[in-house]
Amino acid sequence: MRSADSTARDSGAAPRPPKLQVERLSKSYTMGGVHLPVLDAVSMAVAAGEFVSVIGPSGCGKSTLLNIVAGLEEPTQGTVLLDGAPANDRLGASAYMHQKDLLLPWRSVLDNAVLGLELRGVSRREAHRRAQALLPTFGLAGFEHQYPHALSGGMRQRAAFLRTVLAERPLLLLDEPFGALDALTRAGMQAWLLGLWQSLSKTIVLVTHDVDEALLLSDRVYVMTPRPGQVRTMLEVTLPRPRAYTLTTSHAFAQLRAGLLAMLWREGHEALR
Amino acid sequence: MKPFVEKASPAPRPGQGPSARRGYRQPLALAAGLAWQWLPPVAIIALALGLWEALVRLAGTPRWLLPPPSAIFQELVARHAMLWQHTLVTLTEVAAGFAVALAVGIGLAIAISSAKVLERAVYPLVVASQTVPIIAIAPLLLIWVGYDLRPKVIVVALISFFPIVVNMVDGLRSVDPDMVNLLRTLGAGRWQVFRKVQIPASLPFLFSGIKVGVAVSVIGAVIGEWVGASEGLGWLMVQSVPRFQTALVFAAIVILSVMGIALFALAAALERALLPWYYTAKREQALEST
Repeated sequence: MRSADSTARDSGAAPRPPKLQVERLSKSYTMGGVHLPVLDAVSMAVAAGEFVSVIGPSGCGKSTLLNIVAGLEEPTQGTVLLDGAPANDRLGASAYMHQKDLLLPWRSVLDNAVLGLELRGVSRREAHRRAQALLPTFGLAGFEHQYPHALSGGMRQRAAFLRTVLAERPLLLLDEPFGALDALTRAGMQAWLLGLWQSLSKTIVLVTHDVDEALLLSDRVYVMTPRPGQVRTMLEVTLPRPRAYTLTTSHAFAQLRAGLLAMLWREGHEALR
Repeated sequence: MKPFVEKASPAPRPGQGPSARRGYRQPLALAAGLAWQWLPPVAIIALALGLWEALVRLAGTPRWLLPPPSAIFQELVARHAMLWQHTLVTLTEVAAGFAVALAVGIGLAIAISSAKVLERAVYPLVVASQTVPIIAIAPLLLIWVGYDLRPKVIVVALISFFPIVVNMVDGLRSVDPDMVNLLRTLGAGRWQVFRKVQIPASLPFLFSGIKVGVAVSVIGAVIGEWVGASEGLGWLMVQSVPRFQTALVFAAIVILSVMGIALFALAAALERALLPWYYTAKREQALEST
């Protein structure tokens, strides 16, 4: 997908519109008569095939941002554009993954994975065939007939990710997908996703509060301020691809990490003041 | 794409799962498990019966006052044909009444959970229906619908639909809103969310309601028969008391208890068969916490 992008650029044709564009998005809630602004004029753009992270302190509205992009909530102001066009009816246009695995406990791993295909009316046999083909990649081969409760947290999250990929949408929205896992499992999942993403050819927006995760996986990182969330800055992750998990111990990574942390901590201190 | 290799262990084959590893499938362990499950209730009942028999004999209590267990057993054997006939009548009332309770209960639960307006309109009435003493309604039913099977069926239904409604409503509401949102992002409409998430999630709750419901349904049938009937175990009890046929009253009580226990066991067995995911999940959790 990225190679297609570069050919377009090389031939001098009109640049392709970004896969996802968010323009001056604001969201506020009114709870018990109290006005609570959550997002304040957030703008960002994600090119097709790009991996972009949104990082910020908890409560900065990054999950709300993802919910709005997914079509689960409507913004108070601003627009969401998909492929350059305003997307008012965008629910179901992107695949969405939550911090909780949200696997249906009465369905086997396989039947959970094909949920998106099933809801679209793809036959059970064909849906199973597509899922079976991906099981080894997701480390679930041999576990397809198990119920979710029999799996480890990491496996459950991979099953949830398989379900997300099998929704067969070009845009994946991941809301702290590894946030509920222990540090070691999380590192393993990050390394795995790093290897997997390049073969998936999907556009990914990842919401996280894990600095290493954002830097290791992303092409670019948007840094949000505390509530009401605004985009404070955008950081290009200049690390070359393909990347490996060992990159996290390199000098270049440490420098990027220090910069990003300083940015986040500054936000934190401002909030305390 | 490189396969993921964090845990390269193959899937456990049937009979080799965690339960098998812990020795649950071995015959000896299975027998020990069954004994552990059944021995305590059997032992306590045997002890109570033995004590009862001994005390009645030692004190020389007259049979019309309190018959010993052996006399009740003799009654059960000697008059089994007559008792069986009345048992079938009562069982029919219970079955028909419970079927009505199940249909009405599930229907009301779905209505209550589907719209706030219906919840506000219907739920208070459902609760109110349980505050009216059933024993007061039963004679009225006799006047309104007649002397046949129907008033008993209604009493059984009235008494056993309540736990079904309350539990099923809780079950339909138990669904994580994030789960509903996830299905919406996958393109599911309201009906699909209901069918693929809410209904399966509510089934364990429904079975809890069914288990309570069948246990009390037998009481409903007996009350219905006390008020006005010409057959059935409840009617038999009412007939036997003024004749001081106390052993026969106890025989009817024994049969009613067995009926209640059997219906409960049937519901539990159905639950296990229909919701294997729920049971394995519970067992797994129990094993983890030990």
